[in-house]
Formats: sequence, C-alpha cells, structure tokens
Amino acid sequence: MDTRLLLQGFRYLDTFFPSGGFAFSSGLETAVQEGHVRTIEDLNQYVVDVFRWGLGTCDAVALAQAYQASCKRDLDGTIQTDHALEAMKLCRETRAASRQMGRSLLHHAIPPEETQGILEEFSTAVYSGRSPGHLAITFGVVFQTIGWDQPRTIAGFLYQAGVGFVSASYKLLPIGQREGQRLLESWVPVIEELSRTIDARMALMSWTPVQEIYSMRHSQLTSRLFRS
Amino acid sequence: MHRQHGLQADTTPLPFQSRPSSKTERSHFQKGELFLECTKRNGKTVFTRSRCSYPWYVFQPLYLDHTGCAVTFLTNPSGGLAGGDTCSLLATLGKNSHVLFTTPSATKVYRTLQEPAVQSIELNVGANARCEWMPEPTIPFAGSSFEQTITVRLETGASLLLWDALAAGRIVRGERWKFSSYANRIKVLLADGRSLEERYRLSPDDDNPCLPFNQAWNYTGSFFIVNDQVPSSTWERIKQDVTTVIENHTGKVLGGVSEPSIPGLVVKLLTRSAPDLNAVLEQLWQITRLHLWNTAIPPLRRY
Repeated sequence: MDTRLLLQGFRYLDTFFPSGGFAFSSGLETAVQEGHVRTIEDLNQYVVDVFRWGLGTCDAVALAQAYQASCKRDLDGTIQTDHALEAMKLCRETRAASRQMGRSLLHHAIPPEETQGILEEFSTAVYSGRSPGHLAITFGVVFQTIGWDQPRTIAGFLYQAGVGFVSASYKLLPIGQREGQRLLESWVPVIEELSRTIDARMALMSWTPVQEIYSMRHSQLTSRLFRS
Repeated sequence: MHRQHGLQADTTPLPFQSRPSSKTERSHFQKGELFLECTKRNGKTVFTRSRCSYPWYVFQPLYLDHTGCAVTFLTNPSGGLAGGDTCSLLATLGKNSHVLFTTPSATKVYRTLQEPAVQSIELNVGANARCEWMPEPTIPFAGSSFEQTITVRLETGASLLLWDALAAGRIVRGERWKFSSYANRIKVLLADGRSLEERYRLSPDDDNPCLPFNQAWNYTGSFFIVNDQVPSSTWERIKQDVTTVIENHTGKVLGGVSEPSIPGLVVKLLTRSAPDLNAVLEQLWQITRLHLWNTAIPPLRRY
C-alpha cells in the first residue's frame, strides 16, 4: 500500500481526528451508573458482546456492503445500505451518534487528487438529506477511496470503536492506561477474525438487547458525561 | 380477565373453514396458510374473506368492547411447531378497520432434527386502520430451530402495535438457551419508503452464549408502536409513561424506550419471569391504547 494513503487512513483512525467519538459511550455510562459494569472483566464482556453481536454483524457488514458498492461506483447501492443501517438502529441516541461521526469523517476526509471513487457524490447525497451518512457507510466509502482493502478497513473501524470504549472507561471506571492497553490487545483476535470473515453478502443483524437498553436509558440519567 | 356481559361473538359463518387438505394429511410436515381480508362495515370490523389450512385455525372475530375492534385468536391445534413445518399468514386490513391478533397460549417450537420450523407473517394495513399483533411469547425447546419473518406495510395514518417476545427455553425445567437456532426478522414499512427493522439469528452454545452479559434474564421482548400521523407531543407523553412503568419494575425488569427511524416508539424488555413480562406488557399496552385511541385493552380471556 502507498505509504501516503496508509498514513491518511491512520489520521482518520487517530483519536486526534475530530470525529466527535469522544462524546459517546454507547450505553456504557448507563451500565456503569446502574452498577452493571464495575470491573475490567465486566467491561471486557460488554465490549466483546458489542463486537460479536452488534458492530460485527450489523455495522461492519454494512461497511463491507458500502465498500463493495464504492468499488463499483454504485452510489444508489451505497445509499440503500445507509438507509438499511438507519432502519436497524432502533435507539435514537445510537443512531444520532453514528450519523454525527459519519458526517464528521465526511467533512474532514480529503480524497486523493487522482481518486475515481464516489466520495464526493456520497458526500453530496448526505448533505442534501438523501442519505443518513452513518459512520460505517462513510468509513467504507472513504477507506475504499484511499485504497485500503476491505479487511483492514473493517479492522480499523472496529479498533476505533474499541479505543472509544477504553477512552470512555477511563472517565467512568477505575481503570488505568496499562489495563486499557491490555484490553485493546485482548480484543485484537476478535477484531482480526471479524475483519477476515465479514462478507458484503451477509444480511445486517444485531442482537445486543442489554447494551441497546442501556443506550435507550441513557437520556434519563440525571448526570451525564457522554451524549449516548 | 373476563369477557364483558352483553357482548357477543360474531356468529356469521366464515367463507372457509379450517380443514386439513389431503396433502397435509399425508405429509409428515405441516404447511399451513392463512389468508384474511378485513373491512370496516357498520361501525365494526368484519372478515370479508378468510381461508386457512391446518395447522392454522382462525376463529370468527370477537367483539370484546364497543369500538368495533375485531379480536381474533390465532390457534394451532397441533400444539406447536416442529421441524419442517411452514406456517404463513397474510392479512389485509382495509381502511379504518381495526384487528387485534393474539394467540391463546405461547408458540412452542419442538426439537428439530433437520429443517427449521418456519413462520411467515405479512400484514398490510390500510389508511387509518389499526393493527395490533400481540401474541404470547415463543418458547423454543432444546434442540429446536425456528425462523420467523414479520413484515408490516402501513398506509398513511395506519397504526401498528406489535409485540414479539422470546423465552430462553422451558425455564421451569431449567432449560435456558438450549435451542439450536432462532432467526427473527421484523420489518415495518411506511408508505413513503421509510422502515424499521429488527433482525437477529441466535445459535447458542457454550462458546457462543446468547446473553453472556445477561444478569440471568430469561425473557426478552420488543414492543413496536408506529403511526406516521401522531404528533410528537403524544409520543413524548407515551414515552414518559412507559419510562415510569419500567422504573416501577426495577429489579424485575430491564427495559428502555426510544424513537426508531420512523414515527413511533420501540420498547425493549428483559425479564426473569413470564408473569413479570406479562405484567409490564399489559401496562405498556394499556398506556399506548389510551394515549392513541382513548380506549382500554379489551378484556381478553385466554385460559
């Protein structure tokens, strides 16, 4: 891979990138406040469930579909997948978070000069309201445009989500940098497995009722550090 | 709950009676089909056309209150679904009609050797019609495989109250998450093309538990409330009341409510026991009916 494009992808994955991801906890804040996530083991289980039953089987599959549609310059297919993901996200806060981060990535992504992809057309569709602009879809289009392959794009997407959970947990739980790094390391095998096995022909599916309920309950918390 | 005095079941004979076809009698598998067309006539909803084949059995509509809502109990006299069974239901509700579909008991799915049991539900709801799909939970036995699809199409102003619940197994026998596979897809489409979807496939085993982060929850349910013409202030009031009901059952129920991608609300529940699930559902259903239609739940009598 061209080093310039590799570094461009790293920039989009970096916590320094203004995606706004730091503002969301995906229900973790509720789970902590209600006493269901107290330890590093609880946190690990919470996140691995999200990888295996939510992000991995729904968002990452949508990413793969958007990636493949982008390869074919199929804007309609990309928008269709974006709407399918919108329909699957039943919790308003989760949906809003995904859309906001997707739009931030679109706003700050700079396509290579020689690009032949659909990034600009997709961006126009999102800003005109034709497409919701979810993060997974934007990820697929942006990273396909800069030449990353699909498995690495999925791995990057899931890894970024994992970093978001660890970052949130530093504020919510008595967890230090060393434990956080160990957690990220422990999630590498599941991320690698999902990035290798996810196929654009799969159907979007999601089964994280506990995490979904915590996300739904988040708006009722009396004090909040995060927006979801 | 008891049926109110003075309210009678419609005794008009249905155009078709449930009768096993010669094919299904000979076949090892059951292939049931149920077609239903409903219209509002003289202030009450009537079944203008219906046809069903074993194992479905459709009763004549019951009128359990004064609203004209047709209540129908979907009955499977065979006692449950076995591998290879396919049951489909297609119902069309004419404009302004109101049908409440329910079941007399839980849907049991027996141990499956090869093919899954398949249930396919299609509900087409006309303008300003009201459709309530409120079955008892599905209980997948150990070793069972089940695939369910529920597709609902709503015309402008149509209302949908849809409940779908899953038991982890035969809880009193200590059987939890022992089924082979359980696939579920619920899709609700509006006339303008927008939709919501819940879709999952569970294949539990020791390395891949269904609810590892579970706090020993045994029942899960989703309650969808949809109407594209209801003002946002009404949804807000329903949401507040739903939240209060859930909070009043803290410890027994873990639940949440939120706005899906189409106008309405989605409520998700996890409970440890069936009575807790039913108690909360009944309150949520009551709240919803009162806010949307100013009518209470009809007095169903299942047992």
